[in-house]
Formats: sequence, C-alpha cells, structure tokens
Amino acid sequence: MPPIANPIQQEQSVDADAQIVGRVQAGDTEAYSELVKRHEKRVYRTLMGITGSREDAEDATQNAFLKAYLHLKDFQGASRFSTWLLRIAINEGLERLRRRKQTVSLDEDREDEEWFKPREFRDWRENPEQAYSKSEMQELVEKEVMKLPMKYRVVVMLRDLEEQTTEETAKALNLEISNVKTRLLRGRLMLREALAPYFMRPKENAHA
Amino acid sequence: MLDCREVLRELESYLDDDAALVIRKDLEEHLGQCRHCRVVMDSTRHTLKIIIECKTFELPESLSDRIMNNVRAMSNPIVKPE
Repeated sequence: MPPIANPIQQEQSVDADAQIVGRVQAGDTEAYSELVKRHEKRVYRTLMGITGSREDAEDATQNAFLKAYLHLKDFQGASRFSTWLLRIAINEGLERLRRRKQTVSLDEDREDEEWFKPREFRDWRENPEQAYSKSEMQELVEKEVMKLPMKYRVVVMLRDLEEQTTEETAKALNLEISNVKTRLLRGRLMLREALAPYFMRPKENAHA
Repeated sequence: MLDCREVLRELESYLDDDAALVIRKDLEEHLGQCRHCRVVMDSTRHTLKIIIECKTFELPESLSDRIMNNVRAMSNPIVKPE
C-alpha cells in the first residue's frame, strides 16, 4: 500500500512552504507557527524513530524547530524546506543518542548478510483490523514499533506512518534507495512477527 | 521457480503492486503452492494496513505552542530593520 504521490498537491505544498519561509525571513516571526503546524508531526515521528523515547523526541522536536528558526536566514531554498528541516531534526536526534552513548549510525551496512527469517506461519483472522478498539490498536502498534531496532524503526516511521515515498525516505536519511527497501522489508517483517500473536486465528480454527 | 527467500525479497514490490509482470507470475505461482509464503504475504499486507490506519504516535499536547514560545523567546529580528 504505497503512498500515492500526487505531483500537483506536492508542488502546491512546496510553494506554500516557500512563501511562508519568505515571510519569516522578512521578519514575520508569527508566520513560523504555520511551518511548525505543517511539519511538527513528521519531525516528531522521525525523532521517535531515532530516539525511541517520547520524552527525548518531544525535547528534540522543540530544539530542531528552534535551530531551524535561528538558521532560517541562511536557508536559500536549494532544497525543500521540509528536507532541510528533517536533516536538522535527524542530526538533533543522533546527537541525543551520542550523548546517551548509544549506537548512532544510520549508515549503510551489509544488509543482505543476515536475512530475517519469518517464524510465524499461522493464518491470521479474517479482519484483523477490527479485532481491537482503536485505542487498543494504537497502543499495540506503538509498543511494537518502539521495540524495533532504531535503523528499522526510523524507516518504518517515515515510510509507513508518515507515508513518505521510498525516495523521500532515502533522501532524508541519506541512504541508498536499495538500503531503505531492505530495512523497510525487515522492519515490516519484524512487526508482522510481533503482531502475529494478537491477530492469529484461534487455534481450533487454524489449519496447521 | 523462485524459492521462499527470493519471494520474500520481492514482497515489498508485490504488495506495492510494482513487481514486473514476469516476476509477478513467478511469485503467484510460488504463492499458489507455498502456504508459508502465502501467510507471510497476507499477514504483512494486514500489518501495513493496521499501521497506516491506526494513526498512532500522535503529537504531545500543546507541542506547537511550546515550540512557538521558545521561538519568540529567542527571537531576534531576522532581517535588520532598514
């Protein structure tokens, strides 16, 4: 279920960002709140992906927006505002991990060598999406996404929750497209494995 | 015929509907005969639907207000007044 890029919508949204950026650069501080509203969710989710902590993500989101504001005068529009902002946010998140002395690399590595092997093969129930209430479902997904290793979590967050394209995700994280695809596949398979116990058919109906 | 590992590798493009037709035919042939891959394919499709639909990781309350308060506190005129 890929996000379908709508080029017209995308262009309009880029234009709107550029206009608002222009207003802030001209001294209209309050116009910045429009940029915050347009992008805070993506920044926050990306930082949840990187830091794996609500508190850190919240703090880092505030810092990223403040840094972006303070450097906005240097922003020339060579890239999109959203890309530029996300880079600031990602650096902020990595910096936080560094301070916590955790693994900080988002770099490429040899992904193909360790293959993620599915282990759970029981059929899922007919309409798993309806098995739990909305809030139960949110809690469950949140819990399991947070358990993913960072390099998969951040890709799942951008690609599946923020519905960015593979290309946009690769650009934001400075990764090869093939690498994003591999991580996404592995992240999705890990999530499938983690969610399976909640959505499998009850045993008496299962075709073993 | 494709083996299970090759099928999994193509899972994303299959679910995203952009597997080339030749591969698609091979994939479907494999899926027709391999229950394990069929379950994985099907449940991954549901996993994606669940993630996309549940709209989780909502923003903490009043985050944008806090951001703007920080911005205002640090605010120097970005362009020097003429």
